[in-house]
Amino acid sequence: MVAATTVEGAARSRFRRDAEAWLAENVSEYWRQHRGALEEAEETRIRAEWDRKLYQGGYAGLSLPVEYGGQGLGLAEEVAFGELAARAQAPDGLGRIGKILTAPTLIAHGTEYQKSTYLQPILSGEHVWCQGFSEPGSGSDLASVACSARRVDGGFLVRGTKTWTSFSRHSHRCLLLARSDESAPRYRNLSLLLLDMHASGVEISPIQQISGSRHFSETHFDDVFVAEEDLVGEEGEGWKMAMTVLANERGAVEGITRYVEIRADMDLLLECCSQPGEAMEQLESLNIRVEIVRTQVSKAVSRQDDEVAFLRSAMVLKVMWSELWQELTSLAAKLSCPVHRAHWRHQYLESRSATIYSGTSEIQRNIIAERVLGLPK
Amino acid sequence: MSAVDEMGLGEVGVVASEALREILARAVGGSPVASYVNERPLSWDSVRQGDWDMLGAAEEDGGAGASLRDLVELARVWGSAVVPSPLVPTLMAKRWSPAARACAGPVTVSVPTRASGGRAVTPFGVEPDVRVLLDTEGDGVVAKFVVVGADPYAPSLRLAEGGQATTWSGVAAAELRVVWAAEATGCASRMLGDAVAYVKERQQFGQPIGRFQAIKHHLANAHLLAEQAETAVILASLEPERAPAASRFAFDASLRVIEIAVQVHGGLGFTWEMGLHMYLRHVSALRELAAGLPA
Repeated sequence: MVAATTVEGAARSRFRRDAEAWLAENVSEYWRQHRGALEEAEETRIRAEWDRKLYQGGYAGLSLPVEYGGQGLGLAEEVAFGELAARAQAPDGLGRIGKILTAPTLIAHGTEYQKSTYLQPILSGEHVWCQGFSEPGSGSDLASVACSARRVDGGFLVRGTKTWTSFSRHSHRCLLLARSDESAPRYRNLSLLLLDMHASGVEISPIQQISGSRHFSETHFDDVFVAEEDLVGEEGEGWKMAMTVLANERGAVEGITRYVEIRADMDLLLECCSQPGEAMEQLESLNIRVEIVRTQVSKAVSRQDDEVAFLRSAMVLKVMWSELWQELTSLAAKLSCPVHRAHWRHQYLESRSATIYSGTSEIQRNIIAERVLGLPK
Repeated sequence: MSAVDEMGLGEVGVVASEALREILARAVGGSPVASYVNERPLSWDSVRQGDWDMLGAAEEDGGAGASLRDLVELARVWGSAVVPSPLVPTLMAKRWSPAARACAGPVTVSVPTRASGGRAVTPFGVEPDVRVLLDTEGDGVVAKFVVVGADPYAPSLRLAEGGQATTWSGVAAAELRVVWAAEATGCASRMLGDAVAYVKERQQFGQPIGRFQAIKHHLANAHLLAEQAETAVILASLEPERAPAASRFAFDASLRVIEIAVQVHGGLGFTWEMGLHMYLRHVSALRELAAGLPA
C-alpha cells in the first residue's frame, strides 16, 4: 500500500514538473505582458489558439477517458494543472464549457453518433460550446425554464431566450435545456439538446456588467431547428442530466484557479498597503483565508474516493472563495492607494458577481444545509 | 486505507485517533458534558495503561513518534468530548522534555495570559498530583505545582492562576498552539453535529425547525466555518510559517460555530443543564491560553 502510494506520488510530481515546463514554454511573453489590454479580436485569437496548444501538448481533457481522446488522469492532475496554468498566467481557452460540461455529459448519456461527432472537436479546440441553462425568468429556480422545444418532423423547434451565456459569440454549439413537454410535471418536462449556434433564428446580444466588462450575452432563439439525433438521453430527462452537469461545474478545479487569482490580488494588497495600521488584523485574516482555500481544495481532492467526505469538503469552496474575494476587494477599495486605484475599483465592482453566478451564495447555503447536513427540504 | 495518505496524516494518527474515539465513547458516550465535567470519567491510570501520554514522544525516546499532523487529528477527536483530563498538556510535555517523560503522573504547562494580567494560568493546575513543566528546552525541569488560586470559568480545564510560568522554546510554543487550536476545532465539529441533530427533532409551527431557511443558513455558515477551521489546523501542522495565523483563525471560527449551535438550540442553548456553555468556556479559555504563548 505504502509502495503504491509512493509510485502514485512520484507520477504526480513528474506530471507537475512536465506541466510546469510545458507552460513555461507555451505561454507567450506577449500574452503575459499585454493580457487585459488587448483588442477583443486579438484576445479571442490567442485564447482559441491556446485550446489547440493544450490539445497538441496532451493537456486537453486530462480527466476524460483515453478512449474518447482524453488523458485518462484524475482530479488531482486537473487541479494541479489548473494551479500551474493560473500561476503561469496562461490564457483561459474558449473551450471550457465543452470540456467541463458537454464532454462529461455526452460520455455519460450521449449516443455513439454524438460522441463520435462532438467529442474530438471539443478536445482539439476546433469547436467552442456555450451553456444554455439560465433564462431571464429562471435564475435560481432553474427547473422553471420556459424556452420551449416543440416537436416537428425530424426534430424540434426551439423558441425562447437564454441569458448569462459565456462564449456565445464564439460558439459552434449550445448545450441547451428546454421545455419539451408542457403537460409533464416539473423536473420531468425538460430535455437536453445540442443546438447549432450558426443555425438560422439564433440572435446574440451582449450584456454589459457593472464593472464595464462584457463576459456574457443574452441569446434569443426564434424557431431554431434541432435535429432528433441532437437530443441527449431521453426526452424529459433533461433536468436530471443538467444537475449532473452543474455538479461538474462547481468544484475543485475552479477553486484552485480562483485561489491563484485571489492570491495575486492579496499579494498586491499587502504590497500596496504600506501603512495598513488598523487594517492589520483584517489583512492577516484575509491572507490566511486565501491559503485555507488552497488547502481546502487539496483536502477535497484527498477525499475524492469517499463520496460523503468529498461532498462535505468540496461543497463549501464556491462560497469560500467568492465571499473572500469580495471582502478582499471591499477592503482594498477602502484602503486604496493612488497607484492601484483603477485596479481596485474594477475588482471591487467585478467581484460583486462572484456570489451570484454559478449558484448564488444563498442557493449554495441551501445545498450545504440539505445535501451535506441533511436538513429537511 | 486511503485515509493514511490524507494530507500527510500518518498511520499513528489514523490508528490512535480511531482508538481514542472508542475510548471516549466508552467513557462518556453521548451523555451531556454538564453531567461529567466535574467528575473524572477517564482515570489517569487508563491513560497510562494505553501509553496515551507517550504518543507524541519520538520513538527513540520510547514514544509512538506521532507527527504534529497526527496530533492534530488526535486533538480533534479529544476536543469532541471535552473530557476533563490533562492528556493534551501531558503528551505535549513528554514530546519535548526528558524530565516530563520521567514522570508517571500528569504533567502540565503554565502560560502567563493577557486576560489574567500576566499571571501564569495552568490548565489542570488544581488537579492532585499534577506536575508542571517549567522549561520546555534541554532536559527540562518539572516541579510539583502549588495551587495559588483556582479559576472556575472552564470546569473542563481545571484552571489554576498564579505560580511559576513555563519557559517556552519557539517550537514547543508553536506546536502547543496548533494542538490547542485543533482541540477547539474538534469541539466545533461536535457542536455542529449536535445542533444539526437538534433542529431535525425540535418542532415549532408544526414542523422541524431545521426546515426553515433561517436555521439552514445559520448551520450552513457553521459548516463553512467548521470545515475551514479543520483545514486551518491541517495547514498549521504542515506549514509552520502559517501556523500562528491559521491557529488564530481556527479558534475564532470554532467559537463562532459553537455560538451558532447555542443560538439554534433556542432556550435550551442557554441553560446550565444542557451544557453547551461548557464548550464556549472550554474553547474561549483555550484561546486565551494559546494567545499567551510566545510568538
